[in-house]
Amino acid sequence: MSVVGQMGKLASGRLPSGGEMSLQRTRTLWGWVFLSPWIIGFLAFYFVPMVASFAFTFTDLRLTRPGEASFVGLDNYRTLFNDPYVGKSLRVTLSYMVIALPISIIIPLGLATLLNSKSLWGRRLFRTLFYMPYVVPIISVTYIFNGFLNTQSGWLNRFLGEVLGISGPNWLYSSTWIYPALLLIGIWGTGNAMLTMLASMQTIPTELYEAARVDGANGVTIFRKITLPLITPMIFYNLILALIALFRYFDIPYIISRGTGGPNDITLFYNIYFYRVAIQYDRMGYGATLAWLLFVIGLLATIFLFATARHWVYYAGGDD
Amino acid sequence: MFKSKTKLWGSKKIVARYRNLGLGALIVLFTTMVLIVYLSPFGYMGVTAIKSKPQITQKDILPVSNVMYEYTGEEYPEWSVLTGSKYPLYHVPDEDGEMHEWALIATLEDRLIFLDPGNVREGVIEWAGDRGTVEPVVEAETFAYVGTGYKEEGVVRGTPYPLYDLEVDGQMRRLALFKSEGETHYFLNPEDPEGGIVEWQGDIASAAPLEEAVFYTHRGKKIPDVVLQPGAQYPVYEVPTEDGGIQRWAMVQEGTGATETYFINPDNLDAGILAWSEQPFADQQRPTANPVKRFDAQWQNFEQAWDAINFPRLLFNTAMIAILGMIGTVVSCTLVAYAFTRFPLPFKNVLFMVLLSTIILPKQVTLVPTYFVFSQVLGWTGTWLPLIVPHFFANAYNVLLLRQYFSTLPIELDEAAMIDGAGPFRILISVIIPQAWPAIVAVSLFHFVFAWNDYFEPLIYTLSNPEIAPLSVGIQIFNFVYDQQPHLIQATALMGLVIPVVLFFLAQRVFMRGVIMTGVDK
Repeated sequence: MSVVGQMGKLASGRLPSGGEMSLQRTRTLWGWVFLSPWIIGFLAFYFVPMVASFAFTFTDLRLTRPGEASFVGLDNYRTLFNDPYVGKSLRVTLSYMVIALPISIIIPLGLATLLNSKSLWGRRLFRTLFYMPYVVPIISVTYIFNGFLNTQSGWLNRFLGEVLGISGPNWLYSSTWIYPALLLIGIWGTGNAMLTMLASMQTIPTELYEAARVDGANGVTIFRKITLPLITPMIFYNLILALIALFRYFDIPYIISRGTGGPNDITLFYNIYFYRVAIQYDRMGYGATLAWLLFVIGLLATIFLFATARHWVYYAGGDD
Repeated sequence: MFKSKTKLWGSKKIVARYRNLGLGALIVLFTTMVLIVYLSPFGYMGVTAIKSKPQITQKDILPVSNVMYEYTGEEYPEWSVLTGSKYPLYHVPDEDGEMHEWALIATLEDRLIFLDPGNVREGVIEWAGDRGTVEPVVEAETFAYVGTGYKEEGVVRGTPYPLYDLEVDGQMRRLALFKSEGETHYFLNPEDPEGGIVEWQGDIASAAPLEEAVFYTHRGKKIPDVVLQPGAQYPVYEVPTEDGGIQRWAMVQEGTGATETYFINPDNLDAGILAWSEQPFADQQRPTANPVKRFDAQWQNFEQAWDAINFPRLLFNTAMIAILGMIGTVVSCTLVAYAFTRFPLPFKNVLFMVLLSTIILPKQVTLVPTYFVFSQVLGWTGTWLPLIVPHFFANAYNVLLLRQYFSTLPIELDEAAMIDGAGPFRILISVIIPQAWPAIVAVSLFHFVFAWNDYFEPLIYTLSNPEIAPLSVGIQIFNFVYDQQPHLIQATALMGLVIPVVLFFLAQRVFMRGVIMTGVDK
C-alpha cells in the first residue's frame, strides 16, 4: 500500500491494478491542490507580471494617467541606448560587483575557516555572534555605519586618527572611499554565506584530514587541496546568491545618498536609477524596459557562472 | 635504551598538548579580537544613542560629564575691575608717605581698593590708611579752538585753554582764557567760538579755573581673573600638588599655560583661591590636572526618539505585516513542500526548477506590473496588503527548506496513517507537521526577520501613507529629517534592531540550522 510520493514508482510498478491507478490519480489531484498556492502565486506574481512587464516596454504607461498609455513601438529601447544614465548606472553596478563579489566569498570563507578551527574554544558562541549582524534590519545597519564612518565622531576615523595617527577619509562623501565604505557595510550581510560554508566544512570527513597529515601536508596545503575543493558547491551557491543580491543592490546606497546616487553619481546603482525612473518619475513603460535590461544581464551573468561551474565546482557524486 | 625511548614519547605528547593549548589560546584571542572589531559598530551605536549632542563631540567613548561642584560660599571678591569701566584717580599716600595717583576701585567698610594705572599687572592695592589724606586728582577743564580765525589775536588752533566761570556784564559765563595782558584778559566763548573775543578786566586769581575729576579707564583684563558667585557650578579636577599628592579641587578659571589655573578646594573654602600651574611638574611626564568625570547616559534620548518616530505605531505596523505575512508563508510553503515531497506530480522536477529559478529573477522585472495592479486595479497602495498577500503564495527559499526537511521524515509514518484511513490533510497536520516543527519554526523566523528588515517594497507601497509604514520606512523618514541629531538616529537604529536580534538569540539554533539546511540542497 506504499503509494506515496517518491516511493510511488516502486509501488505502482508492483501493483498496477485499476484501483491503484485511480488512487494514483486522486493523489496527483491532491498534489496539485497542495501545489496550487505556488502555481497561483507563480502565475500572479511572476509569470503574468513578466509578460505584462515585457508588454509595458512598448508603451509609455504612466501610473498617474494609465488611460493615456499608448503603444510607442521601440521608443523605450531607443531611449535605453541614448540614455547616458543607463550606461553610467550599469557601470556603477558592475564595477562595484567586480570588487564586492570576491569579497562576499573571501570574508565569509575566512571567518568560516577561523570558526572551523579545532583549537577554537566556544565555537558555537563565536558562530552565533558572527552571524548575528545578519538579522539586523538594513535600515539600522545603514544608520549604524553612517555614524560609525562619520569623519569626526565615527569610531573608524577616531581609531585611525588617535591610535594610528592617520587622518581617515570622508568615507561616505568621497568618490574614492564610498565603495570601500559600502563593502564594509556589506560585511555584516555575509552571515549566511559564513554559516553555510562553515556547515559545509564540517561535513568533510576527518579521515581525509588525517590521511593528509600522515602524508605530511601542512595546514595551508590541506586547506587548498581538501577543504577548498570540497566546499566549492557551497561557494558556488553563495556566489550565485551574492550575484543576485548585487543585481538587486538598492537599500544601502539609497539610504546613504538619500536617493541622489551621490557623490558625483558614483553610487547611482542601477536600481536607484530604476526607482527614480519607474516610481519617482512615474515612467513605468521605460522603467519596465530598464528592468528587462537588468534581467537579461543578470540572466547572462548567472548562465555564465553556471557554465564555469563545471570547471571548478566539485560534486561528490558527480562522476556523470 | 628502550626505557628512555618511551620516556621521550611521553614528554613529546605533553609538549604537543601544551603547544595545542597555547595555539588554542592564541586562536581564541585572535578570534575574539576579530569579533570585537566586527561588532564594534554596535558599540558605537550603543554609546552614541545615550549621548547628548555635546557629548558626541567629546573624546570620551562613553557618555560622561564633568563632576560639578556647586559653590556655596560667599560672593568673591567684593569688588572687581571691569574692562571698559572708569575709575576716579586719587592722590594716595603709601606707607612711606610717598604720593601716588591711584584709581579708586571700591570703598569697603575697613579699607579702600586702589589700582595703580601704571602698574596694572601688580593687581589691586588694599589701602587702610586715613581717608582724609586721600585727594581726588583733578585737572583744569579746557577748551580747544578748532576754527581758523583769531590768528592775529594769538589764538593757537588746537591748544587747550582753561575754562573760567566769570561775571561779564552782570551775567555768569563760562569762557576759555587764551591771553592775559596785565589786568586785561582775553577769552573765547566755547558755546560760540566764532562769536568774537571777550575782553575782561580784573584779577583772574579771583575767578577759579574750572576743574574736573580725572578717571582711569580700565583697558586690560578683568581683575581679578576669578570671580566666585554663590550657586555657580565649577568642574572638579584631580590636581597634582607639589607635595606629590592629588587633590580634588574645583576649577574656577582655566590657565592658558602661561598663566596660572585657579581652583577652590570644596572641602576647605577658607583656603580661598588656589593658583596652580604645571611649571613645578615640568620634568615629570604630563603632570596635568584631569577633570573628574562621571558616567552620564542620556536615557531620555530613547524617550525622545520614541515619540519622534511614533514608535508604538511603527512597531504595531511592522509586527502586523510580519506576523500576517508569516502565517501566509508558513501555510503556503508547507502545502507546497508537502506537494513536492509526497505526491506524484507530472513534471515535478521541471516545476521545482521553475520554482528555484524564481530566486534568480530580479524583483524589478515584476515590480512595474505588480505595482500597477496593486495601486491602480486593486487600489492597495496605502495599505498593508501588497506587503502581505504575495506571501500567501509560497516562495522558493522556504519551500526549499521545508522540502529538504520533509524528505528526511520517514515515509512509513505517512503510510501507517493512510492505512488508518487518514486523508492527505490529516496526514499533513497529524504526521508531517508535528515532526517538522524545527523547519516550520525556522521558516516563521526567516519570514519574520525578512519582513522586519524589508525596505524596498514598504518604501514603494507605504511612503504615501506614513501612518501604515513599518519601522524601516518610518526610521528612514525620520532620519532624512533629523540628520543633525546623530544620537537620536542611533537610538532609532537600536530600537529598530532590538526585536529581530532578541528573537534570533532566543531561537538561534533553529534559525541557523534552517539556514544551513536551505543551503545544503544545492
